[in-house]
Amino acid sequence: MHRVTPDPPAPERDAAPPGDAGERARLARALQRRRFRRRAAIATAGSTAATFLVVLVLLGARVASGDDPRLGTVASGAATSTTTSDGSDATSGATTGSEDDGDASSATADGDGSWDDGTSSGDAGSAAASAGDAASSSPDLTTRSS
Amino acid sequence: MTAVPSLRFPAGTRDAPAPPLRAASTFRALGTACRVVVESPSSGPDPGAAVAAVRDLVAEAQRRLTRFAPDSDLMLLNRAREETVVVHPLVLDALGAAQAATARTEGLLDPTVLPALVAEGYAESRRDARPAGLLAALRDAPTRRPAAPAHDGRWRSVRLGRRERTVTRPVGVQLDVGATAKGWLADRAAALLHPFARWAVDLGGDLRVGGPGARTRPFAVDVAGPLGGPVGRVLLSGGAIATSGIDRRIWRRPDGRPAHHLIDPSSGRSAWTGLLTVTALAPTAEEAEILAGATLLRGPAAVDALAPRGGLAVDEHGVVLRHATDRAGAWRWSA
Repeated sequence: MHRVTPDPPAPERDAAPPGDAGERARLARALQRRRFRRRAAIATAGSTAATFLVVLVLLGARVASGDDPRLGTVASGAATSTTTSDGSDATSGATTGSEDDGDASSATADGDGSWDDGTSSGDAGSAAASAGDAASSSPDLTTRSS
Repeated sequence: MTAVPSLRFPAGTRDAPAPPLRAASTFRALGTACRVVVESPSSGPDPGAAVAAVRDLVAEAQRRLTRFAPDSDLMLLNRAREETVVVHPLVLDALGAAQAATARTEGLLDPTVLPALVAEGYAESRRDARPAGLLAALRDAPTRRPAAPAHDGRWRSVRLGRRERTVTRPVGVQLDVGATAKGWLADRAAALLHPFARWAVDLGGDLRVGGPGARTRPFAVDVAGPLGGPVGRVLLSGGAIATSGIDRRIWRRPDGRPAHHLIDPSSGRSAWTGLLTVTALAPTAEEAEILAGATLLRGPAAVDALAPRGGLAVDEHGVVLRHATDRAGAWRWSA
């Protein structure tokens, strides 16, 4: 960010004239310095506010464009989890047997590491989801030949 | 502004909205990877129970319809020595979907090609089999041509009795619902999920999504290409998407000839049409699957069939032919 605080005025003590005139000159210079500082503070605050507004507008535009904020990886393995409002988690169930052999095996709640599985508490789930929202390269799902 | 349902407030925060409920499950079934995602408001129905219900449905359909278990309903039907056989409602429904697909494609997606599929080398499950090299298979494959319906129209000999729950066909006709089962089943599963705010069912790449939450927060769906890596991304806020291709279930016969699981009914052999994968969008997964499969069998000249609802195809030169029409506003391509 560019510097917004101006350099202070040139050294003035040695240049001050004696007597009342000198006192008035010192007061004037002190007043000028205060004005400089106030303007610098206002400029800094304005610049910060403008930056915040620009970021806010960009984020709003992305959401308005319909980009899906949910992100993550396509999972593998078998798992079922449920995040509940009280922060508890994990409803696991048995996997279905495969088309081929009909075997069934039990599933775990933390087995697949996908974007909405593997949470052990509501807050953890929130953190995982928020992390997912932050990345934009992973799909929710994938369509493919099978 | 899009709501962020996973937003949570620190414990003790007053007036904090209750977070939503979410359940998800990834599992193997139908010889492929499946996934169910269900979200609900905190005061809404239990998404975990819905996910369990979908899994139960998929498990039952698999048990009754697999052709790799000799005691499945489908294989018992195929071995029956009577012309008319009473079947379970789920089997009847699946056969009805297969028959409807056959009628819509004028015999191109033919449920009676099972003997040809077995003769081509797909007698056993290929769930754990490594696919043959696609590029080498393309090099050795026969001349490309569009697939066509069987000359004898044997699929017309299959009749379903809805009221009596019967299947009537000439003894010896072998039926298979592999070309339509996943889309049909995804729609059946979707019927269980309509009360929920946001949901998705993915049965081996045949996807159906829905719920009001999906309209504000659509699902990002990658379209996998035939040579690895995605060839597109769709933001899907409702409806379905399905992909059909020759890139995964492809093998070499003992005589070295390449083969895959999409059969040209007119020749009884694997169809080599010049297309490798086709992805179609439609309101239902059943429609999307039919459109994708039929377009792939018809070849590059038929890709325009995807235009009304959108979709894409990848040909043997790696060219992605995309149709991006979205009249219903249910999806859009992601940049």
